[in-house]
Amino acid sequence: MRSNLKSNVCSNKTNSPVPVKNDKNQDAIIVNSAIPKNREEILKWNGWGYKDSQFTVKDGIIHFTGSRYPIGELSLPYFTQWVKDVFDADLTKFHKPQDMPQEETYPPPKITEENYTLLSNLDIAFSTKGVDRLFRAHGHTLHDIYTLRESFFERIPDIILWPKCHNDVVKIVNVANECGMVIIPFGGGTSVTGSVLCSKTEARTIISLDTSQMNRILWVDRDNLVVCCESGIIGQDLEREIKKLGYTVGHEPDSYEFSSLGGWVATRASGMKKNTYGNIEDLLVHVRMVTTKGVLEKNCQVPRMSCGPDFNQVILGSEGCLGVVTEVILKIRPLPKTKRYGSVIFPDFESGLKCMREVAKQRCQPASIRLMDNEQFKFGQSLRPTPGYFGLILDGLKKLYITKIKGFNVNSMCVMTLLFEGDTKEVEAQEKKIYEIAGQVGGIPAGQINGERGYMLTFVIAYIRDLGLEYYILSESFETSVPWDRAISLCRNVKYVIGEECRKRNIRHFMICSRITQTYDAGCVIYFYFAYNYRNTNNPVEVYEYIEDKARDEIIASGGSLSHHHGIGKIRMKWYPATVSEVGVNLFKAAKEELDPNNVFASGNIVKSKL
Amino acid sequence: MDRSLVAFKDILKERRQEYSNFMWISRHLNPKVAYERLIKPTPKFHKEEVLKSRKIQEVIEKNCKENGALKGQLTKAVMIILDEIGFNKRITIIRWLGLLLTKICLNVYGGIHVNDKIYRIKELMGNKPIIFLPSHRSYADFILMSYLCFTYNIEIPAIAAGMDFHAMWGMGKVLRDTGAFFMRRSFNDDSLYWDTFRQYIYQLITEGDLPLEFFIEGTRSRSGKSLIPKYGLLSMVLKTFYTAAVPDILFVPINISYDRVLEEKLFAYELLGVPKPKESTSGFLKSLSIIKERYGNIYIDFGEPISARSYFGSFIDRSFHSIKPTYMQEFTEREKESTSELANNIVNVQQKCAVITTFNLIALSLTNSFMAGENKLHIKDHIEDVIWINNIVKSLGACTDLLDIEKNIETALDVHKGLVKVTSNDNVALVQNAVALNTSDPAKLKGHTLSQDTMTYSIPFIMLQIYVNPVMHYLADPCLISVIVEQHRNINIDDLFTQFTFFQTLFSHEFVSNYIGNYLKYQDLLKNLTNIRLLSSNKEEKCEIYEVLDFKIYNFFKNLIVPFLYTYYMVCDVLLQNKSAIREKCILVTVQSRFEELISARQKIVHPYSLNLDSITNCLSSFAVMGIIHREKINEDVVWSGNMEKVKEVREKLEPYLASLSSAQNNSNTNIFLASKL
Repeated sequence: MRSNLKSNVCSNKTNSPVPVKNDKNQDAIIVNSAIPKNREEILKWNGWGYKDSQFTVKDGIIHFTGSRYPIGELSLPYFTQWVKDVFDADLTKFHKPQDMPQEETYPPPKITEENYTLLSNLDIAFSTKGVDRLFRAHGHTLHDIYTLRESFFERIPDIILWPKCHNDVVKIVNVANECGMVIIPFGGGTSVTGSVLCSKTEARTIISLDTSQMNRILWVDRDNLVVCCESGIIGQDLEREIKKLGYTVGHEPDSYEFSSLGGWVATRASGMKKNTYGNIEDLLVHVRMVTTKGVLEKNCQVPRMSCGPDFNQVILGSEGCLGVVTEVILKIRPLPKTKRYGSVIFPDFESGLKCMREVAKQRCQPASIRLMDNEQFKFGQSLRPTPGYFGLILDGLKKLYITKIKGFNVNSMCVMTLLFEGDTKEVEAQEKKIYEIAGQVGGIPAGQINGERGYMLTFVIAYIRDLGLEYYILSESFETSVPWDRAISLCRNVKYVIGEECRKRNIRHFMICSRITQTYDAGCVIYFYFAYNYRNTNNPVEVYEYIEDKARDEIIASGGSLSHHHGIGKIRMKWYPATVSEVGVNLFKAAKEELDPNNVFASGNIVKSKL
Repeated sequence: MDRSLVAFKDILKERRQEYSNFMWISRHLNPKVAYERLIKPTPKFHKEEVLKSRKIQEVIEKNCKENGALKGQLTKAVMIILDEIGFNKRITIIRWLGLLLTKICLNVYGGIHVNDKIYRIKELMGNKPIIFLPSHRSYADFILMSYLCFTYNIEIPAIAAGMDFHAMWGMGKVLRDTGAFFMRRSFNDDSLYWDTFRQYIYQLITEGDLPLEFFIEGTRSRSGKSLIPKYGLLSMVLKTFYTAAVPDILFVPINISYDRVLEEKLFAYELLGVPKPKESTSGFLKSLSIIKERYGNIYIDFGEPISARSYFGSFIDRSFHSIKPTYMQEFTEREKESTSELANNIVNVQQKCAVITTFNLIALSLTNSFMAGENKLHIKDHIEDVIWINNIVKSLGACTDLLDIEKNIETALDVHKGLVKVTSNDNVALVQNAVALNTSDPAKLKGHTLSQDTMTYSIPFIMLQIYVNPVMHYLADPCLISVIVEQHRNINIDDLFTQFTFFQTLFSHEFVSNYIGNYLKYQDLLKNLTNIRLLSSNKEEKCEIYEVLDFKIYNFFKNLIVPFLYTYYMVCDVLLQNKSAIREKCILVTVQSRFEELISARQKIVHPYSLNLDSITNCLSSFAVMGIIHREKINEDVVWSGNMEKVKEVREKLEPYLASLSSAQNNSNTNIFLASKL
């Protein structure tokens, strides 16, 4: 059915090289997204996530509002205490962010009458309203959020376009290419690399191509267990809809409530449950990318092929520099029968890591397996309405058992959280095996609830930064991947460097913690969280960025990668040449030159474009 | 630049004042560690980890495959090696030793003066490996460092010690219990041993919590001058940094300056080629007779700690080692160069941290007057000279302990009364003791069999030179400049630089410096020498011309450098007499016997230090580095051969300096100079 769609007429009056398919999709599932087209209706304009969900301080105690998350509507006295202990936070000093700009204060869009007419006649929804432009001018780096709260971006997109299908994208790309405009594809807006930021010096009209209205599930192929989606679909919608049919994609990056399929592909995303379902590159069977030279795609829906270099890999991680991802065919799996959480505590990080390594060696990873270090463990334990950092794990007899009989040190112990998915029997066997391996290195099972809390926190943790910024505490995370044998030294080195940099700057109240979030045959993924009290610091964001730079230098020196799944964007460009070699850079440039000679996709990610 | 003694505190002071030293040594200890670990690693843990390490396991496996050895046997062999190497820590031994040392030190030392910088260093400790690198002039260095740490509540370091201690009955164990670990000499080529040793160091740095201490000079300097650093242990340590197994390493150069070195006499013998007695416990006990003597002051100073991170940060890319397992990584050329550069730097900082004691100044004065052939005997003349020399040395950047002139000199002379004697009519003289040569077996001698007369005559001079030498760090370059300028009258700044660099290179092993060929340092030096009015400079056709202004200073400098120039000249001469290859021992013997003849002829003033073997081997090493000759090992013998034309060139360059300097002198003074006890 699909093959005869290829030979369709061109949509444009010009002789576009891009063949366009018709968009009769009778089988398509129209998805009613959790996130409306007008994002401001439900999302914060200057922070993470839903408007109704946030940490606030009431009568000196931190609360979490809303009922979307398990810790909602609860007061958090122990977290409050933790914040005071660790950061010396003064919760009476509220630092109010600026109000949302008035419509008339936005810079006027840079767009000629001619181009405006062209774009408005495309029969594609568009907007030049300030608030729409501002919402799509940024991602979620600390820098982005701080700018929203304290100042303004030097350059924002001039016009937003909401294509509804692949063909709409083709039209937009062609017009932009012919008329000298810039396109920045925008999906869920959760980038943490500055990848959707507009270049300050860009004189051309910048189109923000918002894929959110291009979010249908086009068809489901139950024989081959694949699903074809438009790239604008966001994670939670995709899972919700596909679950109704008895399936799951199983791709759950921490941002999956908001991030889009196209964004996953463009950044080479990785999900929490990749052990069972795979990373985006494992899940991806077929992808279409609209470029200025046409559509890059394969002619068949096959599991694998040997036909020269795999161009899917050019699209994966292209970060909006080469074209727009419009449709993706992903693997799906039947919904697991059983889903169970688990946790194990270890006397120290080193033994926890040994366990993780052994699990990876035996390839018996459950859907997710993570290891939090001591600081993060304490932090996690504080986020609940019952007493003590170690309350849940270390209440009463259990505490006595762990600290006195097993001799665990509360300042070194750490926790491994587990998520099992599969057949009941399979899960049971997996659990048994994991607890056995853990036991060999001194780990003690610590129950389901602790595991579940760990995963719940994953989604809540992103909200904390906004609270911090209101009380002079700045926080951010960064990640890397590393061979097994270097994981411990990498963690130590990075923590040391951050500690020293803080000391040099007289930053006394800071926290640096790490966790292992993924395991592979040949290595693992490490996440760092760094936060500090910036009451006595000028240019807190600059200082943060400087320190993160130093940390990244140390990561690379310690054998870690530039990024495991966040991507390069603009903030990590300087390390890219050394990462892929000069030849690699030239190869990328050549691809860029071929696919986008006019630099329509001038987001300026990965390597500096010459234009 | 100005260092003063104000920052130093005598750690014996409290010991003298307190009611009970026992209370002090048994106090509660919570020493500062280098690298805090959540679980304190034990000495046993380190050994187990080494054995378990991938590296050692693979070495064992490889050995099994290649040599058909049994895994069990090899494992056992590694365990035996580890037991030989590994340090231990027994706090009771440390405390008792602390008490014993307190009692001895209170008896023999005037004071142990420690720079307050130690507090800053202590502050820097806690989150990274730290390496203490003391200068090595005496066995006492070991003990002092540990005593110092004990006093300042710093965890006593794991200390690299030579195997000779290991062999000492009882002592080996005591040292081990106080943190010493043992290292075999580098010419041992047992690869299993070295793999194990390297892994042990790796373990201590990456997983240990103690400071590490070793002597970068490799061995005690017998001459009192710094030695060319050894790179072996430093490379092993730095590998952990280069391969990013650790984020940083802090190197702390330390100088320990002695008023009087315990081994002064032994060193004098060794410099002449009489082998040092093997370390034995009975020898050690015998040396305890030192308790009856006095050894004056000790000064311990710390250089600015060098962080590997900031030192190498800009030019070593550690990510180079990201591919391939850490333990299989090899050094890059760059890293090798940087390692030796750092080593030289450390030695240089050690030198800069020296405190020049009053006796060093007295030794300079005596040597100067001997070389000048003056009949300057009265103590008053020497006091004047000491003040004069003190000013020179200080203006060249040294820190001296001469504060209360009369009293300091009196104390210094008292401490050294075995070497320098003040006679009843207030004349100063060297004490000469008849030398009974009990080791007359020539096979045991490293050089020429010197006659009893020569030995008896020379030993006091050599001992005196041991106290001149520590100051040579400040004086060698000015000495060289002086003689060059006087030799080539009105020399311009660039020609002077060429000549100077040649001599610096020639003496690179004699006077260890890392400024060879550094024009900026050279300019500073000239400025300094003009300031002290040794030189005057004139501008001629845009070019700076130099000549000697103050001949008193010039003569002083000349007198100090001549013994060295003479030895080097003689080495050239001996090399040139042999057309082909020549055994090292033969060079040593011939050079020494020539000097012995010259000395016994008493025709001209020849400083007995010219006899020393250290300078001869330094000369050969320099020649080797300069590409003039090369060293070969032919059946147990070290043999030198090379480009004799080039040797000739060097001799020709040296010759004029000696021609004008060694003119016949009134030799009668040399006899007066010595207060014979015969």
